[in-house]
Amino acid sequence: MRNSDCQAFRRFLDESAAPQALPAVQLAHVNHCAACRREWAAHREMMAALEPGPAPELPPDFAARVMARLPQAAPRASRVEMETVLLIVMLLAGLLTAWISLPPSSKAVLAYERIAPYLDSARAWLSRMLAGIVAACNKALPESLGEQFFAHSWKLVFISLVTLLVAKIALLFENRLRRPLR
Amino acid sequence: MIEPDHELVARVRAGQREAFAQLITRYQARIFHTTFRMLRNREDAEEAAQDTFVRAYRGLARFREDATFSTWLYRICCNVCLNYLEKKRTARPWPAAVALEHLPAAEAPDRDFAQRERAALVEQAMADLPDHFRNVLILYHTQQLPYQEIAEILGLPLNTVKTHLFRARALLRRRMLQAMPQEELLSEVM
Repeated sequence: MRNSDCQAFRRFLDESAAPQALPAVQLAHVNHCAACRREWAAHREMMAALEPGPAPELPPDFAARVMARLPQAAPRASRVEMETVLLIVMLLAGLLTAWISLPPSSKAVLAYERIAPYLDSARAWLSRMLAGIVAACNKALPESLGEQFFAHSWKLVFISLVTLLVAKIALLFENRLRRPLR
Repeated sequence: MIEPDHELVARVRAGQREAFAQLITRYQARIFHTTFRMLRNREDAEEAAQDTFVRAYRGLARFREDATFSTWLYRICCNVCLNYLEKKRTARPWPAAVALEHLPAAEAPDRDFAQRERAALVEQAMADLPDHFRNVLILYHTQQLPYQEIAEILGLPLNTVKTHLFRARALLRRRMLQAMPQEELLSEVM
């Protein structure tokens, strides 16, 4: 039957780095407890088996065989790093989020039909567009920014969740790709 | 004078393939020892060791040197072994006595039958352990790596490595207790 001494002994075996000999307290317990004597014997067997034993020798041409399998070209990093892909995806998701959450009146400011007349001159176009944005901001901000935010907040939440999901999948994918390369 | 790892790595990156041969020679024994302990099969272990170096060469451009080359190599080695184990698990069960067949010839005759049986028992108990426990056991006991390096190799927090090690030893001991005859154990005490 297990008592607290037995539990303490087992805990000692589990947590000690690699006890080869027992402290006096544990030794006294083992001398009186057959179950823990078995534990101790099994532990010693296990530790002996875990010791770094000899591995079979490698063939002398091992290095040559590996070298024969290597590509001739020097190792190069792939052109597109996973971080870059992830950054672009996040950026696109952010832009999409921003676009969807814009009120229709603001979107109308950027509509092609509205800005087409100004395309004859790039300078005029830029100035008009800036003016249009400023005007739209002036129009939108003082009125009901809070309402608009709440009206479109579900879209923000949804897109944020989708972005997070995409980022998570991309990270998993990246870890899977990188695992053999680390 | 021995050329440090990072210089050899730099030379390989610069296109000197022969520098990689030096890295192979330097680490082949340790890597093979690890693959052999993990896979328990000479052929698989040799192939896994080769794969480790080939993958290391291909991934060398991505090696960020935020860890030592040896840690990075062990990490690749563990992943390669895990992939092999995954394949083997679906293909066929793990034979318990395979490792003994492949021990060096000089070692085998010195072992008596009981010792060989016990060794096979431990091998089987090891084989039955979950991969993450076995990896920690092998890296700690067989390769004698410190906790911190094991944590870096396996990408685990330090405390998780320690916990895995404690649990792995407890599990292994329990399995050995279940499998070994009582009188045999008692005769060996003290």
